[in-house]
Amino acid sequence: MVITASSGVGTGAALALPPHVQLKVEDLQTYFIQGASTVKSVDGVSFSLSRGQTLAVVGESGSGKSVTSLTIMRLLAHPGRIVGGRVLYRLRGGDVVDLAQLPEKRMRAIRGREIAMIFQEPMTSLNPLFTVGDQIMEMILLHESVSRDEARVRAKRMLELVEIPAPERRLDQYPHEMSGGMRQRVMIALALSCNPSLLIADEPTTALDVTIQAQILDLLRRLQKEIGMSILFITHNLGVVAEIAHEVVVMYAGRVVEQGLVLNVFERPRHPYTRGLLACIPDVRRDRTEGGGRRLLNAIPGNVPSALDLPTGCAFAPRCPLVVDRCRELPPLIPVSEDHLSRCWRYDDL
Amino acid sequence: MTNASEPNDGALLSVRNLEKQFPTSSGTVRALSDVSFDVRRGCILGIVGESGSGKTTAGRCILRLIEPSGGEAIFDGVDLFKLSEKELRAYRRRLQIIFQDPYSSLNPRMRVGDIIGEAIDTHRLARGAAREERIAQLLGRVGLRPEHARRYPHEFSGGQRQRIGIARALAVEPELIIADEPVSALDVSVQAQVLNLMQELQQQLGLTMVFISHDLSVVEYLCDDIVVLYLGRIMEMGPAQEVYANPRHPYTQVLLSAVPVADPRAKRDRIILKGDIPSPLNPPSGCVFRTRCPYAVQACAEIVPPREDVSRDHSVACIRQAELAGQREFENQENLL
Amino acid sequence: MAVTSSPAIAGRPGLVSLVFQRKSLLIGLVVLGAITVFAVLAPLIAPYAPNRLSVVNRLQPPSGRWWFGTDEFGRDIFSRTIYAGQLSLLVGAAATLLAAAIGITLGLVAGFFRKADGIVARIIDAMMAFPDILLAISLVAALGPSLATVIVALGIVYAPRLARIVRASTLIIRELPYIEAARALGVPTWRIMLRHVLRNLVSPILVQATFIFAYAMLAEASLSFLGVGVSPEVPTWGTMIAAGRQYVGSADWMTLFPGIAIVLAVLSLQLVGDGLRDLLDPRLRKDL
Repeated sequence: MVITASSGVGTGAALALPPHVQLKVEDLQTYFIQGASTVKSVDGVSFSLSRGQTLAVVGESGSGKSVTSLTIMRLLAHPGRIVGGRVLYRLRGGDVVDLAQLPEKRMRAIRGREIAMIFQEPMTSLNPLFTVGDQIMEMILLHESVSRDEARVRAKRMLELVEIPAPERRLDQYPHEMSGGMRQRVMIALALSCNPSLLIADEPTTALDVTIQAQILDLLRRLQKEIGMSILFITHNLGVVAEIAHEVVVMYAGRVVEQGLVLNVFERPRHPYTRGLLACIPDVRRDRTEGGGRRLLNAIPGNVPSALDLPTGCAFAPRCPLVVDRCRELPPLIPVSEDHLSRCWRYDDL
Repeated sequence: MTNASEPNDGALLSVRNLEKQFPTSSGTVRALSDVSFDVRRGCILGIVGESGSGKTTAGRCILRLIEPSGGEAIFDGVDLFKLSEKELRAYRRRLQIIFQDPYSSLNPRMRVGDIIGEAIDTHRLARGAAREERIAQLLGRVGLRPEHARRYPHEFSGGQRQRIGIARALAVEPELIIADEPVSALDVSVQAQVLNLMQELQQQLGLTMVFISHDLSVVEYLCDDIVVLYLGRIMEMGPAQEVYANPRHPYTQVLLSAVPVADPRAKRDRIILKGDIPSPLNPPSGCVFRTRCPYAVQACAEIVPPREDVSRDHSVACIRQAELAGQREFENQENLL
Repeated sequence: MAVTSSPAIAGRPGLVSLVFQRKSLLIGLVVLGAITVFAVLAPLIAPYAPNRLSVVNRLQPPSGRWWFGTDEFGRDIFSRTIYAGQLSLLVGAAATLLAAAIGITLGLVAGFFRKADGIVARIIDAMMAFPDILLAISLVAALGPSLATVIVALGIVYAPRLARIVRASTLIIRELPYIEAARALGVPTWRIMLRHVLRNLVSPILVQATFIFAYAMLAEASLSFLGVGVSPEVPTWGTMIAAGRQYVGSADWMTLFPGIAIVLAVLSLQLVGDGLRDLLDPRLRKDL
């Protein structure tokens, strides 16, 4: 790989992405360093997200999935910092920048306008003191030079887009006057109000009821088809991944353990962790004709390891049914088939 | 109607016409209306519902952690709602609860041994060495080690804390356990462990259980019977296998179709509901589900649908259920032809 | 972030090293400890008896013989200052204990029983609306001035501060599932209040108590200065300053040294209180 001169950073002259790619994360490392202790929250994550596609990052607590999204947005809280890697992003004009290196001032112009984000709890990300209309209008006025009247018309159109009934009336309501599902719709309207090319959705349906979750997933799918934005979807729910994503990155304890097309990964998971996760969720469609006694679930033994105290080698080894001596050595991400990687020495036994 | 008015013989707990209203500054919230169900001895009853369904309130009312506004809860022949505070204390030993949040359900200032020990002390079940022995035994039973008794709750992971909560509930050797979303705060890979543990314990100890959850797949997996709640009313109830295989209430159908399935190739004939769950401050007239129901007709606004038995033990509160079932059958036949 | 926190606990530094990491807390503890030691060991340390009169040596400035000088009756100010510490600390400690007893009880009852809350909360608010000193003066006036009444009055005056904190925290803790768990087990209410509620309030109560200690000592001095406190013959820092008031122009050491003693005691208590708050708060937040 050619190392470009530092002056080239962010100019786009030296950075390039294949034409269909919107975002490419290369060997990203985000550590939280405090005194003598270092938590490698994200340790060597790479993936690429094509235009108009959805990539899901799935993992449990401490997997680093949320830190990955915050790193891309450059919203890391102290003492987190990017220690290595690149986050190549295609700007609307076609130029490619490395978000990991971009000055904060330029980053600010990208957030909201180029990349938008929605969160798990929409209440905390909406300002309780302003009406929903004010917040969407402010977003539009901040990034585009339009008049207030025009912004209001646009805001109303956004609420229509996310299927909020009686949008004119809703514009003048405050977040607390809305239900959780409605607030998440407002968040999506807010996020999409400047036509971002990339939407980062961090557990957007986790706090919602299943019927509302189904609505929101349906909405996101439809909006993607209409607007064509790419979606980076962070979740812990494999069911949701299967519903919405084209590609999936499975993270465990800060590292990618498996990644590939959703179809391939779900059909034949090539990492014991992914396989375990898929096997341990009860399936509502289970064949009910068998009757008889209940079976136990295929639980993964043990606990998610603490980020401060990771095992050497493969972090999943202490809980893994297939563990062998070699697992003390960290496996690389091994290509197991086209577009399918697994960080397991024994991928062939799966 | 076998399961509606008379307490059922095979039932350890029969809830009848449970009502709960909360007065609030903006009006009265009807959290539960006319809720009746039986929990069969040695079985697990699942209560499913979304937020605002009243599922948690129902569990708290049965244990009188919240005072019910009306109705009966006949536990082993005695109406729990009629007991005085003092009489109730003796019954507390026989009914226990497991909480959702493994963090706030354990006193952070108490050692695990004292948390479990408090249950033993309160009912004077053991003292001295026998007490320690019993604590060690309980910890072992839930998959923890005896030496964990000396530690504080914050030294444990969420899954382990939930095990401690289970050990505390088991300490008094209860007959009935109400489990309120016991796994929904846990990591996916840990949920299965705790569910397995609960199932093993239920079978080994012959426990009767009420399992409250919003997660239909978990309820289906674990429960013998199921009650589907919506805005404080029972929409449908019956044996879990039957309700899941043949849901008769439109809400149950919607709920089942809304569960995301971890199979990208799954056929998705999803019914997407319009709108939100109405506010319990101002629930719709007639059938509470009618504002979101794809099959609602004028009559649904006028009467509260009575419970109709569709088979033994399986009942539905929908005035159109027979008509809709007929229609579905017709469509299926069309498809076959 | 991580669910398992066992390593963090294994590495949790002991209380002693935590204290040493906080300089202000350490300084506060050292000064407060020194004052206490001086007061307790006054009979051994003091060069003269506190009430020994020596008219010949009246109003002597500080010197090698009388380190802090002498007062208008020739009594040694240094000896009186350390003896006065006994009473000042006693008044502060006793008033704090009394305030804690009243405040904690009221706060727990108000926080736990909705019915009692309306009345108790209103009384607390009404009492807090009065300036401390005015309330104390009227109480002492009503009960008649003596050491005991000063303690009782100050205990009553400062009780609402603790009651308010205990009530607010009880209201929060009362709703937590572990309280429900205890109720579901049939644990009696008083046991729940002590084991589950009060035990979780130890840190905020401790912090507030150190502040009340400081306020009570200051208030005692003010009362004595105003002549409504303990009798003027009994040496407390307050009575000493009150006595020295007439000689401020000519013998400023009479007010200076007891004044320094008060300032040191109050400051060290404030430092300890602040330090304790820092020390205990994050853990409290995390645990809750």
